[in-house]
Amino acid sequence: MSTATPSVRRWCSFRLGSDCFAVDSTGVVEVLRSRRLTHVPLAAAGVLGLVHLRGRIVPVVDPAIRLNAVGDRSAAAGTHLMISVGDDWYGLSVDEMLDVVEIPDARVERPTAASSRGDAVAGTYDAGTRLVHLLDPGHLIHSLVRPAPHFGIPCGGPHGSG
Amino acid sequence: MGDNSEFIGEFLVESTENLDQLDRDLLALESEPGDPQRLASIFRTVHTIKGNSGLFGFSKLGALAHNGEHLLGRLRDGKLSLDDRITGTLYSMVDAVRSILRSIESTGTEGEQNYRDLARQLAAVAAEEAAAVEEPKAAEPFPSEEPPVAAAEPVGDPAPMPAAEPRAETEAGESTHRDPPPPVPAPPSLAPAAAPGAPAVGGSAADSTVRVDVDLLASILDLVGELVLARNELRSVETEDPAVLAAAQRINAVTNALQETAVKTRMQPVEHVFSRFPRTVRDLATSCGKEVALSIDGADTELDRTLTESIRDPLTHLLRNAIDHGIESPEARAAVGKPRAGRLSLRAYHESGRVTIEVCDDGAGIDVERVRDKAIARGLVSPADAQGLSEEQILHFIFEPGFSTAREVTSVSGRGVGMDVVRTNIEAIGGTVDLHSLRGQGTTVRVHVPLTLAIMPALVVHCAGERFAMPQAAVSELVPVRRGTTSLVEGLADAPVMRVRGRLVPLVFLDKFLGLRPETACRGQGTVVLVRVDDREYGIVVDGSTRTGEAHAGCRELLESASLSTIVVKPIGAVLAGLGIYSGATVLGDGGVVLILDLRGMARAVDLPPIERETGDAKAATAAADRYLVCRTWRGRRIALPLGEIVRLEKHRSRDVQVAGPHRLIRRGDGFTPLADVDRVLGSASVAREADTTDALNVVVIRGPASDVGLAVERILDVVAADAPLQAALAAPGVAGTVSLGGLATEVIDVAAAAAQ
Repeated sequence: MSTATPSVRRWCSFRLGSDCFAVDSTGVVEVLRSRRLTHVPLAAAGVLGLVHLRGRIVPVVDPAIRLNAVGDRSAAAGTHLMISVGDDWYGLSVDEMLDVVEIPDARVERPTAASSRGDAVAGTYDAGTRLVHLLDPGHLIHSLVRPAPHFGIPCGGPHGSG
Repeated sequence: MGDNSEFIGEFLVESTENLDQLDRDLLALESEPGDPQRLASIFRTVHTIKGNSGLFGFSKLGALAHNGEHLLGRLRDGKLSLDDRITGTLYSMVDAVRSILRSIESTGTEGEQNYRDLARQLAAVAAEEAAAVEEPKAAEPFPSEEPPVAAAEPVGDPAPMPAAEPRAETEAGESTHRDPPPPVPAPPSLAPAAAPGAPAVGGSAADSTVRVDVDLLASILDLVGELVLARNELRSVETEDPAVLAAAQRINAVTNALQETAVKTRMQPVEHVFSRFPRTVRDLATSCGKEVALSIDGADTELDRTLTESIRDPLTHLLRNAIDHGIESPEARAAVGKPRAGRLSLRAYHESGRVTIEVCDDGAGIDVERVRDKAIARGLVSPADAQGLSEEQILHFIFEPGFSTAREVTSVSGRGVGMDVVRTNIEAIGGTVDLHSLRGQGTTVRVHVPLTLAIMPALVVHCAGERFAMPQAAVSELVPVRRGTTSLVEGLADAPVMRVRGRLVPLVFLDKFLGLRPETACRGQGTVVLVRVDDREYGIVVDGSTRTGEAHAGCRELLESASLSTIVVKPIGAVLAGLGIYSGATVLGDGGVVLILDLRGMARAVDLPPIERETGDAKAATAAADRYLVCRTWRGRRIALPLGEIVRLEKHRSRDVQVAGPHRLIRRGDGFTPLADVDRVLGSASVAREADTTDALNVVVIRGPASDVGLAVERILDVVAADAPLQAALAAPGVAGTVSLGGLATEVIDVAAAAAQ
């Protein structure tokens, strides 16, 4: 109804698997395409690698791990949505960039407490044809880059016991 | 004020720098009184300050500078000769000017204090001594004690030094308006002190530099980084168009040059910090009644400008300690046959990818025993534990907070007041501090500061398709993993080692360490990068196409597998830095991001023991005590030798063994080393193996009572840390006990018995 109220924010939406997510456009730095990533051995599984952007070394993370994205992810490599979180920059590896959507705050539905995506999703917006999951980048990134608890021990599970 | 504030800011910065220069000049002047160039330089500085303060209406400052200038003028004209009193007065003037500048900076005013006494003293020194020397007339123009002329200063509060102001105006006016005359001052002996050429010269130095905001420089550097990437993309565009190619070529060259230049803007020589130390040292020495000769080395060593400020206070503190507590009084020094003046040296240099700053004195050194007692008294260590500590470990108590506040420390050892603060400050910027002291000979404190944002030469290596950089300064050499057809890697899969000139160097297979490959592919072929950080040495095995061949061919291939380049270290954020194995990242010329290995962190991660120093000090021996070299004897027994007891590992040819009576000797260097058979040490007959076809003989060299003793073993298996302490109850002839190594009970050779055999 009142689309032009000041409480309308612009969201950059993107596709991950078969789901649609979005981040607040004010935090978006740039969209990078086909940039080779530098692998970071022993880093947390969510860290895909490093990329150089405007003099900074920026970690690129895989939000799909945290967001349980499902569906076709074959085109995953290549598009990085660079966002700023506080003073730091991060890259989100996405399958495809979609439109910038204007969403009135009032139309955002808060997530249920039991959401499997936890703090990473701050709300959802029903765009008619699809649901847009609005992300809280701070929580998302934090949960992805947290280093393995014990250095040198594979975090996958109990390997050579004994 | 609004209009002026910008100019005042500039005036403050410029004046502060000028004062630093003035300090240096005064110091130089002390050693070489009457150096006309120094005098002229000092005069100019003071004159400029005087002129500027008049401009902004800082009357106290102007008055002070005026009096100083007058005194300097007399010195310059040879009417006075420099002595301690004059120097002291001039230093006081510099300090006063500095504190006024500080006050202007913080409050915008000159502050409450008036410097009437100082001004009077300046005038008195100038007047009285001039009278004493010769020209009584000289005193007349500035009868500063009396206020004969009314204060004519239009701005600011009533001038505390009324006499000086009008004259300052006129004199400054005169000298600037009379600019055109030749710059070389050749005033007739009775001329007033104004320097005709001075103002003109004073301005020229400032023209070559300009002040730029650091943030602006940082953003330029970032943009250049982007340009480099764009350039690289351009380079990969396939085109035949000669015009495009030519333009791309030019862009390429310009980008490279631009990057190099931009990077330099981040760097600043430590000179910036060092420049004030000669003055500090002089003042401290005077107040402590010491004689100190300071030497500064490597002031041109460049450090990231964000770090230079952080090291100022810790270094000042170290200098203060050295003078106050380290260097003895001239009498005490003379009594022990040292030169009266203590030597204090300040040295900066690049080392292991870090900047090391060394503060070294030839003073009394630290009394280790008293530090030990103090540490025990303060409950930092139990008396029993203290006995087991090395001197170095004991000296480290000085860095404990418990040691810092106590006044007694001064009387205890001479060092340690506030050393914990030094350590805290240095560690805050990722640095380390270490300390060495020899009783009676002096103390050396080394501050190692990282180059977090600095440029440094790095070795870029390949491993499993990835590239990694390591600080070149930490790299001692590159060695192919195999010589001819034999792999030089020894030891078990869990603890590979390599013998380098007799030293046993632990190896880290980078591919396996980083999980790039489940099993290393570098065991048979690859390149070992020998690195040394702090007191650890180890080899990092990376990919390298070292074919079997001669040594020369090997060298070239080594260079192919690793390349040197100058890199800009960029932070990678707390998350990745928290892993402890990367110290940063860099962008190479091709735009690729490359991680920089934290060689210290890696050594920690794989838990490498500190190496035994060539001199074989006791500390290394204790640290290595619970690690053992595991060997197999010719009879096939698995035995262990405490790593700390081993001097070297050598390989000899069997036919080099000579028999002299009951002894078997082996030629090592210039002499012969007795060779003991381990089996015989263990009480069993030695295996007849002289007829063996095996040419190589593994010899473990240990220290015997008279000379080194070689122990012949069939094979060196591994270096292993003990699972549990040595069980001496299981001792036998030649066996000191049994220890569990990798789950296997292993006999430990009684080294003393073996050496005596």
